[in-house]
Amino acid sequence: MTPILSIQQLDVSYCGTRILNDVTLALHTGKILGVVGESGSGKSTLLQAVIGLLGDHGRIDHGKLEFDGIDLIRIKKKDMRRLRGKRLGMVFQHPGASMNPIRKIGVQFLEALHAHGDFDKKEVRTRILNMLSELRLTDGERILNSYPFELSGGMNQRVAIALAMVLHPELLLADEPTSALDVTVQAQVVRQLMDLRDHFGTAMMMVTHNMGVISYMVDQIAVMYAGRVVEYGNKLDVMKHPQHPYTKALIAAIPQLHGRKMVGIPGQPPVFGEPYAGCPFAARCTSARAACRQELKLVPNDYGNGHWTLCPYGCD
Amino acid sequence: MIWRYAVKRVLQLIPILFGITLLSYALMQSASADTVDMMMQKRGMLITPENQAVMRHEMGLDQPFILQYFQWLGKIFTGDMGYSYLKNMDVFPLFMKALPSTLLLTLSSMVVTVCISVPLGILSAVRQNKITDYVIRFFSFIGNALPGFFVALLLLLVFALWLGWLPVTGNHGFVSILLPTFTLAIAMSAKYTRQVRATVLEELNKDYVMGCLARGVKGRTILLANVLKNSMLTIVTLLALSIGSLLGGTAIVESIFMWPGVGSLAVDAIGNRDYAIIQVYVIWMAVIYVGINLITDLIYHFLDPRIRMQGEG
Repeated sequence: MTPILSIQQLDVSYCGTRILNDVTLALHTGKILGVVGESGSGKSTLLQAVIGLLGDHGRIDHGKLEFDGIDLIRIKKKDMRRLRGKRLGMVFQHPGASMNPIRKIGVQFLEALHAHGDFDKKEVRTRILNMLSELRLTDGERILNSYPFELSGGMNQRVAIALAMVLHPELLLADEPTSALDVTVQAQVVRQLMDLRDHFGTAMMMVTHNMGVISYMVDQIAVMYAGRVVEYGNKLDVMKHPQHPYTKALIAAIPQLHGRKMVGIPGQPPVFGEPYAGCPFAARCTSARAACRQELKLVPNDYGNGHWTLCPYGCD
Repeated sequence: MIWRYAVKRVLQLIPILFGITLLSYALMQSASADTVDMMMQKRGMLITPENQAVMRHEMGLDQPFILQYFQWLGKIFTGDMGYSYLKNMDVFPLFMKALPSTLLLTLSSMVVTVCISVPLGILSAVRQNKITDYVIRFFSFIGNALPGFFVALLLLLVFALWLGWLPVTGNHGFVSILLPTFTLAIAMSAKYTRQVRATVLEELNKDYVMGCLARGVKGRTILLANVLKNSMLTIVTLLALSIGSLLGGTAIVESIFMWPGVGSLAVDAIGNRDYAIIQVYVIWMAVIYVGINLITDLIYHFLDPRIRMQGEG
């Protein structure tokens, strides 16, 4: 089966500084891919590259980026706009921030729909209300007549998800969609995203630094560090048998109620644009060898079942 | 709702206006020369101290300050705003004759300013750091740097003297308003183009713009229905302040073009210490500013639901 989204050896830079290095990922219809990593690992840049919103200073230097066979790098601006919202949706971190604060939510739904063609007035109304009720927002009429600031954070984020999903895009990109929410609301939103996936077969690419969210909802995990994917695989393979020391350290840093102590990762990730020799994680890695800091070649090491890592030594 | 808010605001204005009139009246009183002195000076003759005392008594100038103030205030409400010894007529009709000219000039220069600065400001912001932006910024910089009287003289020189298209001064119908209008509009447009640019740039960087882009909303819709609407909140405030100062009469421009507005009236009155006119002018300015402030707040209520809801809650 061909993936709905295929990223191959993607290099992206901002103002000449390399942010993403050799990123290779694939996402299939109906699957959820979790992209984890610390702040500044290039996760958000990756999403922006996919949806074509890198801005004036961002540039794709090299690689392939394909959505359902469409080359997203060479696509015309006009055609990219038509894809956004219709076939590619995006949800942002801050609830409500993606909506204009001084326009009613209903108007913003209409605006999003009318950007992609003319719809029958009645049909539009039902469509919006249906999507809101998919997210358990039952008093849709009241919500459509409200302004974003009148709703709670959790409700706003669900409205934002409905807004991104109203045209049933095949791929939903989510940039830390739960990080700004209360823990109880987080669980709700995560559950509803999974329901949407089950209902519409939407593929989702979910950027987060919350390992709890990852272990609960995703199918595949990509661990990012310093602009590279350092480990990729099915959720269980990566969570149970992490092969990269960074992944291992991330999992050890998950707070737990019982059992082992939570362990932080000392040090800072390398600064973008500053050159390093060998493995970018070597400076913080507890099992780094001399070779790691010199001419280590960063090539995927296969562990079977699609599970690979950039670390040649493994952890088992 | 909005009407209750409006009424509340209007009621709040009463003590403010009261305070302003009291203060301005007190300041006039503290001036060294009074009306009798000024009349004497103007007519160029000496009046015996006895006669001066009689005149002061007739005019009520020998009464305590606070009594004079309330008498004056009472008369204002009946439309009797005093007598201008300078023009030898009542102040109120004098003022009413000057007002339409000022209103007209305010309106025309505001319209021209908005028509120039809003499109240029948006264009400059959208084409940030491109050649269009640089050209617009260059001219707005020049417009900002040129003083109004210089622009006025420049325009007079080119359009009235060299080209002979427009009259030099006075009010000869529509053509006469062009030069004072553009003199005012050039300086204001230069200022507002920069303001609009800065405001639009700030709005363009907000998250909702990214949200709209991610939903595939067209660039033009984002600009006109979202960014411009949000930018209006800031721009309206700035425009209101300018309208205020324009309605007060633009002394320099009105004087240069002999435009018969309240600005030149006030300048004449101040030069000759014609207290009656100055008093009315001060009241007029106060009324304009509090009035414009009120209107701005009400417009805000229409534009920004966040403020509207706060008021209700």
